[in-house]
Amino acid sequence: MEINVWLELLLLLPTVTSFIGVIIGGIFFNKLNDYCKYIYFYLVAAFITDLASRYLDIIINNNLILVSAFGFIELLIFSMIYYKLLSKTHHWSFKPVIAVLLLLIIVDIIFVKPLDIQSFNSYGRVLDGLTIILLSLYFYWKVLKKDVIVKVEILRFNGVVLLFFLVNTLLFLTTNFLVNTPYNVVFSILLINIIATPIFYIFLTFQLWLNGKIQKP
Amino acid sequence: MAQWQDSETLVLWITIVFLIVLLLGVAIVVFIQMHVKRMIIAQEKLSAEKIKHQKELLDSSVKVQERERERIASDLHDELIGKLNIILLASASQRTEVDTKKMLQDSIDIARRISHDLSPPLLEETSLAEWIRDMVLPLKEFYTVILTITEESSLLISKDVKLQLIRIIQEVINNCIKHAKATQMAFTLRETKKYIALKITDNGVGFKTIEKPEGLGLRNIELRMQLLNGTYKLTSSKEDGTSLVLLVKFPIA
Repeated sequence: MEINVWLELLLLLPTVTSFIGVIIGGIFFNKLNDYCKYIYFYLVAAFITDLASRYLDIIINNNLILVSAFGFIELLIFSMIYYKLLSKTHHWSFKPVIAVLLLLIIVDIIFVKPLDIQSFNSYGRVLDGLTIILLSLYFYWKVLKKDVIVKVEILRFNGVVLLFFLVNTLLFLTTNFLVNTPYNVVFSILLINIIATPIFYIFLTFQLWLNGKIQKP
Repeated sequence: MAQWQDSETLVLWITIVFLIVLLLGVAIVVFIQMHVKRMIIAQEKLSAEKIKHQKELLDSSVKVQERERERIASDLHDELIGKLNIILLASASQRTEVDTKKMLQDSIDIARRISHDLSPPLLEETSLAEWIRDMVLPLKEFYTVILTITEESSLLISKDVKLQLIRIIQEVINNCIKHAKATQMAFTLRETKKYIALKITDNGVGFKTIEKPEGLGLRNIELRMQLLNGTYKLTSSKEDGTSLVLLVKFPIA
């Protein structure tokens, strides 16, 4: 098989893994607890965004608007997940700060003209990633302070979220600096994201399966 | 174009920063994961210890009950039944040297004492302070007894609380008589609207509080304090004797 075919298959992986997550999450949906229901919504959003980006690519040859739009959805869902996980122990400023950050992403979508490839940047996505990293670290801090009693399953979830968004955010942050870099170098950096994303979706699907299997309806 | 803008330099630095941040992330995750696991194991150990302790207390309470039954059986058999048998024999043989009237009176007294031991009379009507006064009165014959009572409140302590505290005081007095070899005992009671505090001290030989006492007495005290949701502190040394402080806060949960 040629390298291009391999790459095409590799690019299909996030779609396939998110689709598997949607199916498995759908089967167990009624048995899932609150934070896992939000994980399911995240996988649904990821799957729909993936399909929409392919569609937009075919129709207008530009799907960059979805980068920041997905960042908005991602931040909204993960802040809801951490809101649930932190239950009543979160700081009073949790909701206002998240609201301001979501507003900033909307401003980024409106004013950065995503249809113009030349002026596009991924700051919205970086903002979303950094916020989720901070939420994950805040959750760890609460666990160490013994404010939150967690199961090993939730702790593992938080660890994976932290690592994935570290990789993801660093990659989106660097794309702004790589304008003069040859395409093959940029692609090799983005390849890390292409591999990390399906692994993350598989982990989330496993989390849904595990939770649905144990929880009673 | 500045040197740092050179694509190769940029990619190199990005890779280095990327690896450092990633390693840092992995280190944080691994460290916290290990720390929390250790915390969970320690908590499980603590819970297991608590369960074990509760089992021991339960075991003690059963043993205390059995000990009480044995004591009552022995009181009935050795004192009351013995006297009643003599009265029976005397009335059957028509012997006049046995003072049946006195022996019947003694039997009634013994039965009354056993009955009072089982359930103190007028528990509701008598205050805790009066109970303590009554309990320490016989001790004055053999010990120097210092009694300090401060009642700041006319609050009526419930019958159950009073009974548990009376049993604890009885246990402490028994322990002191049996083991302490003391010459002096002091009782300090303080009753307020918010709490009851009781301190009992003696100048006896004491014991090492670190070592678990083999007798059931202390476990009995602990069990009763748990029932009252109260706290207690026991200190003992050869030089200063033994001191027990009990604290019961209101309302009792």
